[in-house]
Amino acid sequence: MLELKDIAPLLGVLLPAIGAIFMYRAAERQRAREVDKAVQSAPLGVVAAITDKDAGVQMAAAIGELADAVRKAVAIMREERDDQARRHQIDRALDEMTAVRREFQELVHLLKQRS
Amino acid sequence: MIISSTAYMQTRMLEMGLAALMVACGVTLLWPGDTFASPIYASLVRWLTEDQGGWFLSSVGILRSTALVINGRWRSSPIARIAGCLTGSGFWFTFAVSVASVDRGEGLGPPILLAMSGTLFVLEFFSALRCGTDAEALDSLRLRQARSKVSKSA
Repeated sequence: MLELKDIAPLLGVLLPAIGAIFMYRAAERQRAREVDKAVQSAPLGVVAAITDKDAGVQMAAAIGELADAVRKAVAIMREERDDQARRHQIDRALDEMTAVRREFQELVHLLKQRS
Repeated sequence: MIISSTAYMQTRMLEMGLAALMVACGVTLLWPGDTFASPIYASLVRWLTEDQGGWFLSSVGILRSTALVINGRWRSSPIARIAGCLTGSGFWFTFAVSVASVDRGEGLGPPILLAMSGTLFVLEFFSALRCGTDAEALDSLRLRQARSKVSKSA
């Protein structure tokens, strides 16, 4: 009859191996859940969708350039604002562009953290 | 440097301790004299000789410590760590069974070595679970990378 001491090394290796595989799968499922949740909300969704480190760095650089372009546009519009009669519309446009720039910056910050 | 090294190793201290213990056990077995002559190792002797055990434990312990030090810098290090944990748990479980199955005299309780080896098995088991999580985080099996390539080419 098979005794515990006959299969002790096998059991000693198999039990933690099964446990490690289980933990790997559990972590995978948790990551999938987090990605699904993050995809629901931008800008975190964009960050979560990037799994490759290089892609993250490239994305951060591209968004950084976009943020700079918006910053320049805001500066130009601020100069124009003094000469324009329709200040109210320009103020709204400026507010929206500033909000976009902040979102870009937040995205860059998150990307830098991840990559 | 000492402070930064301590901070770096803090989360892996348990595994580092287990790896050090493995090396220490290996060196003890390689020490001149017959350690396995004691009846407490009777079941262990069925699987490996004292020399084999000594070399095996010391080499796995050293490889495991190396994997722990470079952990995170090398993507596949959790796999090496899991291999170390499995070796350790296999050894400690076999040792615990060996200690438990030794013939005891009338009225004698189990030796403290049984509690020690059992606890060490549990600690190795726990470390293997943590390595499993780390392997997923570092994508050691490259499964995430493969999936991302497939979705890019589609």
